Amino acid sequence: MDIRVRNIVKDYGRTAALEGVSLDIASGELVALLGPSGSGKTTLLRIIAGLDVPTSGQVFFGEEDASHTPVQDRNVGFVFQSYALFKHMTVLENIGFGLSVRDGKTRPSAGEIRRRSMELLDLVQLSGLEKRYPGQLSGGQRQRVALARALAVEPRVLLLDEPFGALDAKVRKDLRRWLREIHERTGHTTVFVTHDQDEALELADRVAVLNHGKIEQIGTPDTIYDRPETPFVFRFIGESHAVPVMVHDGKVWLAGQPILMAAGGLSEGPAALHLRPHDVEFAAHAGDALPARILSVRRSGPTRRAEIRLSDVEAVFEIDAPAALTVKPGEERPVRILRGRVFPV
Amino acid sequence: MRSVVPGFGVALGLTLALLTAIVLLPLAALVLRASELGFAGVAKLAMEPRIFAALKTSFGLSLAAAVVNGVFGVITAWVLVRYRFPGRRLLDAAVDLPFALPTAVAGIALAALYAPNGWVGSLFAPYDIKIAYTPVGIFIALVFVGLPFVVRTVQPVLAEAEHEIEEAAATLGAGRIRTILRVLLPPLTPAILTGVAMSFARGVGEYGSVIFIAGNIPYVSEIAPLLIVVKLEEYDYAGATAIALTMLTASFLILLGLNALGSWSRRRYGVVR
Amino acid sequence: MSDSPLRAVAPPLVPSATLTRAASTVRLRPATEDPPVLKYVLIAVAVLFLALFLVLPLVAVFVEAFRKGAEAYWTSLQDEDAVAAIKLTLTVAAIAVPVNIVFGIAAAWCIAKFEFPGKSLLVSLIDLPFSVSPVVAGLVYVLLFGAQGLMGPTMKAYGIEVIFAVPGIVLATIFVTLPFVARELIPLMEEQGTTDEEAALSLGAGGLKTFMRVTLPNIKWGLLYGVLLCNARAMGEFGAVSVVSGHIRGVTNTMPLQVEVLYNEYNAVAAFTIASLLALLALVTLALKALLEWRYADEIAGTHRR
Repeated sequence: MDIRVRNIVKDYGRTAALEGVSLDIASGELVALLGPSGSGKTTLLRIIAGLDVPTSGQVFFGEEDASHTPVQDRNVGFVFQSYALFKHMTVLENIGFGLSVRDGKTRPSAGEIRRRSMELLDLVQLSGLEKRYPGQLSGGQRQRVALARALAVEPRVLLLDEPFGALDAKVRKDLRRWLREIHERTGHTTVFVTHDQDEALELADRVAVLNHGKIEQIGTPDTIYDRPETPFVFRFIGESHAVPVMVHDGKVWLAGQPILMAAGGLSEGPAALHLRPHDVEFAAHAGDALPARILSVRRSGPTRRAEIRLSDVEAVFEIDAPAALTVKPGEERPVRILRGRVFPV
Repeated sequence: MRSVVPGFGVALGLTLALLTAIVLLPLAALVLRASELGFAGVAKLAMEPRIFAALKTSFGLSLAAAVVNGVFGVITAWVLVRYRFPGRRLLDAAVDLPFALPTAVAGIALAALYAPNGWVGSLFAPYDIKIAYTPVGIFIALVFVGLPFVVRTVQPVLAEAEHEIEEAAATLGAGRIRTILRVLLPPLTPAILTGVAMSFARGVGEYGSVIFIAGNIPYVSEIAPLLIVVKLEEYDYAGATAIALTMLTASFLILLGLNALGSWSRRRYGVVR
Repeated sequence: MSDSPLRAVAPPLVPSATLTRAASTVRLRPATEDPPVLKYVLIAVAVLFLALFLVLPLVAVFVEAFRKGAEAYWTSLQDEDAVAAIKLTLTVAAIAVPVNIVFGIAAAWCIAKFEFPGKSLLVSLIDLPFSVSPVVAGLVYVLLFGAQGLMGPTMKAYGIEVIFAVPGIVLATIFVTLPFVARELIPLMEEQGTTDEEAALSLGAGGLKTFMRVTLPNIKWGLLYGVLLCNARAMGEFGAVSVVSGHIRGVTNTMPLQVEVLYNEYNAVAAFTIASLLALLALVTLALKALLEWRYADEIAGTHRR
């Protein structure tokens, strides 16, 4: 089932949580809503579910305008950050709850509810734990029960709020892979909220980056990482540093030198060059490189990370240095800018 | 592990000394007196028709009042926690009135209200319905004294219930009433039962608020605590002791049951966040 | 420099006129909100129930007290026995409340700040008076100190009267109010732990100084809360006191007992006059209690915070 969100505005009193958000999600797609806290990502998810009522705007499930359908009738599967399992029910009763509260005709028989709940329990790899209570499960197990419970109602769309937020790092990674597998097997249209960029990039078909109640950019993980459209997306995805530059005569100037970048579409005047650590390298000799001084060096995984200061501008940033290269703090060494994004200031 | 904080000996000594002198020693006197009677003696006295009738009145009406308090207490707690309306704080404070108002004051006020010529009693008098000076009057007084227990045990549990539990039920298709009955109320059961049991225990021992409205007719509207007073006035210490011991045993069993209930629900539901 | 923005938005498939109409007709309720009908019915039930059972009796007390006018009220108040009852009630509370404070602080100190075997038993024993009928509380003192009691004859030989005298009333009052302060302080002091005290001790403060300067300021509002409830019960206690007092007018009648005596003599106005003073005490207690819960929420025990 494809989902379309149209011009959603949500005001909480005076402050706006969402300022006109529109989003199309294709059937079977796995989409991440990524953003810092307060960006409105959870509010958007809750509005799609029908848990929150937007101030204005519409939500479509396929051709159907679901904007005025109460949450009970929207047929969504929602997994809460805290899981919100029913503590007084066993695992099996939790999973079967959605089916057992259906009205007369549409309610399956008790045996059928049990059979389907057991099937889902198997899907989430918790067979044998059906008689346990949520209090007797680990965090990761609870998460799986919450997912099975949401899937049991055969939802039109699966919505997950920070699905791995409450788990420790190791369990997070395992569950991430496992969720991807489940998605591939069941083919549900899935939307999940996260503040963790790694999680969003690794798991999602497409990522929508939210900031201050607006979608800054939406695209595949590659697009988002390689071609960020706004300074915010650049900063939020991966490490980055900004260096002041000038746009003049169709060229980008840094410290009085034109650098290897076209300034198409940018207006004349000051701008900001955004760089990731691997966008800059140490040059063998001065030539067209920029003079710089190394401030400090530290180990970072397979490479070393050097903090440098460009000699002619007030700009400090970090670059990756190959482990084979000997660099020392205090040393003068020219650098060459390979890539980067220029945004108006 | 030894603590560096001083004063343990003094504090414990003072606590035990006062507790022993004020509570334990006098209660021991009761047990000692009862032991002179023996189990059979106490049982025989408790089965004496007038005493038995009084115990039945006290326990039966307390149970009825506790159940009514269970229903209205849960509704009151729900209203106080879930809704915002003008006067809510005042209503909340009023719940504690039975804790704060001396029982004798409540007793004469209830008697005046429910007497055939009182504000409420006069509404029923034309239909030949008597409230004061009958077991119904006792029941009303017991509802009065027991109400705060249920409200005050259920209120904090309800306030801490996760909002998301209800939302989860809603996304799974459960309507509002069904969510309340199947998702919200079951976890409250231990708190409700605790409140009902406390209300019941208080009712069994209640004296001041009941005696003015009860009419105190032997075999009909005479409560067990009053009969203790009557027996004392007749210098029938054995009878008084037998009634007291039966009541104490009952409240002890209720406390035991409450503890068992608490640990059962903790074992079953664990501590889930 | 930047790529052309991805098309995140597709044109709506439904004509916008249809959407606007739908938007104006239905108002969605948030998922956790009750239907208004249910909400108002439940509020009405709770308000009516509390009004009928709790507020009406309170109103009745004042109405009955002034039934024959303010003058009769003042006359009843100035009655010699009434004044004696008020004095006795104040005296009893003046003894019982300090004993309670001492007991409450001592009990909370050893239970909250230390680990020792039998601790949970001690906690249960402290709660015991709450589960004993007030009449039984009076009875045990009669059995102990009465004329036929275990220690009665011995006491009498030394000229000490307990039963049908003020000491019995004080003892019975202490019995029924004993848990109040302790119950308030134990959870509060457990929450606070021992770090503040350890810090003070490490800075060189002595035990007493640590208590006065560190512990006491931390628990003062909780203590006041306990004292408030204890005082209300001490002044209003009826059952336990009734058994040991002997109802001697002007001598062993506390205010609640005087209420009973007057009421049984069909002197309703006088009975309700004294009752109105006690009701006033209850109202003041409730108001102060609400104030403490509201103003000092973080400094009283967790169960009272709203």
